[in-house]
Amino acid sequence: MGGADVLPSPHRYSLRFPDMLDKLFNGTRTLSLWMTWLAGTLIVLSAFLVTLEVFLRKAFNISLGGADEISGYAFGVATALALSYALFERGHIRVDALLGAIPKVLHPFINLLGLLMLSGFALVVVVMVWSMVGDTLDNGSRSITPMRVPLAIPQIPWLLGWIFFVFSGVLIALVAIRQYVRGDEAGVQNLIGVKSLDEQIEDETV
Amino acid sequence: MLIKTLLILLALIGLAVPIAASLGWLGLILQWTDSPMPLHRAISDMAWQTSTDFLLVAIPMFVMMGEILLRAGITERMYDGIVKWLGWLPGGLMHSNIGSSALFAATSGSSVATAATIGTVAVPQIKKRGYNESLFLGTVAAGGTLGILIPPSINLILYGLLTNTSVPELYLAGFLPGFLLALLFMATVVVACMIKPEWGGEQLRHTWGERLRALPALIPPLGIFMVVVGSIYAGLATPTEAAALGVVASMVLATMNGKMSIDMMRQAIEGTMRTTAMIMLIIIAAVFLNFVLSIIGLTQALTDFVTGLGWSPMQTMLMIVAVLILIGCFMETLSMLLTMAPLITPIVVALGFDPVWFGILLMVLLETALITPPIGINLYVVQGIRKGGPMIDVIRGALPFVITMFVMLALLLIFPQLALWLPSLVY
Repeated sequence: MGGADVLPSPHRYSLRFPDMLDKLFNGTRTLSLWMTWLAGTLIVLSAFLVTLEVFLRKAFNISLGGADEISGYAFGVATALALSYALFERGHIRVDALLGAIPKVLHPFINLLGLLMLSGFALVVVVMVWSMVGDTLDNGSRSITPMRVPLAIPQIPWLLGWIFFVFSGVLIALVAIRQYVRGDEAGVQNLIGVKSLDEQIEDETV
Repeated sequence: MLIKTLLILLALIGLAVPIAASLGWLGLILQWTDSPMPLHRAISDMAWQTSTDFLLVAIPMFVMMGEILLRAGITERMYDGIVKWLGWLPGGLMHSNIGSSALFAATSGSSVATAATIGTVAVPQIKKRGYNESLFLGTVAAGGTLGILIPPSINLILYGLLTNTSVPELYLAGFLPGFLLALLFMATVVVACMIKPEWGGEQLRHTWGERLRALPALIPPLGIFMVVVGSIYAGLATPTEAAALGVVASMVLATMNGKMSIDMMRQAIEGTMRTTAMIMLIIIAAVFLNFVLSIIGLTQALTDFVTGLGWSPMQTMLMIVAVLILIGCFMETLSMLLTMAPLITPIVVALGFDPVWFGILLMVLLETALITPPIGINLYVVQGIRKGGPMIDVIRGALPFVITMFVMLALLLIFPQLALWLPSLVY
């Protein structure tokens, strides 16, 4: 796996002037994809773990115990790891019913506003979670289940996923602003615009 | 306070701010203006509890099951199999569209995926067999909506989470209305083709031998459906456990069909995680907004306002249905569910209606929203597959099915047992 040019997305961002920002952008994007593969693998493994638990419980009346708790953590971490990928793919739902009524010239600003508000809300979450994870570490908190899992183990990667999400948002915003200044309207649209219907259909089918 | 909240929400959503950010910022703004307490400090706890909730683990798993089945090479054979069984009806393949959609919907939570997948197989048949294009496209658009109602539906899990309603109970409640709606769609086609026989295209005759030989093609989707929904109904598994079984079963099926590969799983994973991350971010924001709304007393104020109008419960319910149909014309379904369910369900319960029943009613309303213009995603999906021709064809073709949905809503209002009878046997 090399840079962004081998990404499977058909709507990849095209590079014209490779520089530091582009390198950072491509690296972040590639990393977000790897994190998503890791996240999906966690979900698949959880599915097998839970299936095994159900099977053992029904067939042999044996309980592994904790499959639900572990898959819960895996789910939380997996979701956080994939937040950034969904952002690069413009997968966070927006309602564009009224956009048609707004002059096209303003669309880049509206798209940027949407992105910044999403990242801003995530930043509020990160700040709050940061202090929660701090408390977890200070107190050595464990889960209140028979497994007594040290909560820092799932919470730290979970927090990292959220931080990476905010970071990606800021980065995308910077690249979008630069492309806007350069007059690359299509580039801005590919980075932060609302997905067109054809793109959505392409996402949902094989 | 009510009007202010509504205006802020409308402004944010209207400006195409992502739904998660719209809900989150509405919560933050309201807590700054209306609450003496720093409610935002609770975000971390809520985000963590929601993110690791075992019930919600069902979401990525059901999505993944659908993504794998989409790539497991079962759709075309399933469609052909259903043609052999339903093709003789007046309206021919249009019944197969609805039947395949119902079956595919049962294994995939996504309406867009259902309409797109069935549409891709079905649309080329329009010209080949001389169907009325408009009505044919309508069956694909309408059939695709069934995924919301027929279990295992992700939307029902979200409704259960936001309204504290039991998901297995909702799944039981959705079963009869889901299949009844599919039958009503087929009846709509029959009626339309009796009025205008030239719409019906070619009727296909098949022998019983052909039908029996087609059965094996129907076993995979039915088998998955039995594993997933059957294990819930039989009390063997919780919805999340059933979803895990579904992921494993669909992987086995893909392997048997020779479709399993690293590349296929990678694509399934990317689709799954993109959808999951998007949904979970909205849920976290919605849970926070819910909390703020109830602390500042807005949920109660809204309930008091509506009950204070002095209308009878049924009048109020009809008003709610009318408002939701209107909202559905403009809003995408997931956003509509996550914003409306927490606000309206308390009113409905205060009026003495059953929250399980209302969940099912709401699902039918969401289905309607998928095919009502101007914003009905399935209409656009079908138009997109068709490539060419005016959009109005699809809208006109879907219209009879919108009316069928209204009939379904009326049936649910008059006979709540349609939804509540199955759960009452178990709970």
